[in-house]
Amino acid sequence: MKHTAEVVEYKKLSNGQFSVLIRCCANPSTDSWHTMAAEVLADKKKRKESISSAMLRVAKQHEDAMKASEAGVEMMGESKEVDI
Amino acid sequence: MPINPETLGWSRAPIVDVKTGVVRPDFLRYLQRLEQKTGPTLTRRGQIEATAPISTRTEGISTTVHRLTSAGLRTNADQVAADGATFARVTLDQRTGGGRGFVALDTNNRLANSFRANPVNVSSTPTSATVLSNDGVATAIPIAASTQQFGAGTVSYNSGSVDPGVFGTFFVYADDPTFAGGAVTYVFTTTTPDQTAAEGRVYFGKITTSAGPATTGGGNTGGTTTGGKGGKGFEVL
Repeated sequence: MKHTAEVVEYKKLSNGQFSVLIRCCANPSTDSWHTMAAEVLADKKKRKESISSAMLRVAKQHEDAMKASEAGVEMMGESKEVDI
Repeated sequence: MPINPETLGWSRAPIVDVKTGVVRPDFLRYLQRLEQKTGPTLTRRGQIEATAPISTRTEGISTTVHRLTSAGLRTNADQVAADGATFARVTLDQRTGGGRGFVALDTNNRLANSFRANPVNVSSTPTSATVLSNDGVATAIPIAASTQQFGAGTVSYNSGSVDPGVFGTFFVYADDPTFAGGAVTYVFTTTTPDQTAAEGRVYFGKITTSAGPATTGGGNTGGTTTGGKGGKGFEVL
């Protein structure tokens, strides 16, 4: 399934690190902060890779959560007869 | 507010018709208006009736004042706010004082529960074996969604990640001063005292990363990182 992860917030931390808030499919329940060292942010290539891998992680987790949710719905009504 | 009594201009004329001896209509109307006002509000003894409402109010005066003593004092300290629950003035200075104490303390004057303490002082155990991980390829450290068991209950945190940009050993924490959980901003550090450098600090553990092998840390075991467990104040088997 297609997911769209995007950076929706950005902040500089008091210790010099930077954080971006990544949200998948505009769903706030997927919100996930990714914190980077200033050196990572300063290097365009490193920054891209770092944020890209964080976005991938968030999207995968969203997919897993959706699958788990669907599995939960599918389980509804399941029954088993037991002789004891 | 001044009270404007009814004018008595009609009284300049005789109250009773001198020819017939009958009471004049103006006087009768005055008496009627007087009775309309005083009848429902005064007893025969001149006391205020309990059902008499105060102007602009609908309840009887006994309802309005029944929580006042004969000395004009409140019957008890609870009779402060109409909601029956706000026992301090609702101005900010009161809420930051006694009002907060009322909420946070129990009947033994202890904190009502550990969620009323600062997170840095509260014991907690991560419910997962590990929370931090690194694939040995990139320097990023994904932090799995996790739950911390506190004395007062559990708090769940969204997943996140930190990227120090280099391999090494890092402490990971987040500041959550109100035990709100959810999406917190994870922070990494190599400075040991940072683990306890804020009142709201929640510790997620330590991880040692290196190019090559995948490693783990945090959680209630610390994974592949020696002494890497998160939380505080618990032991492992």
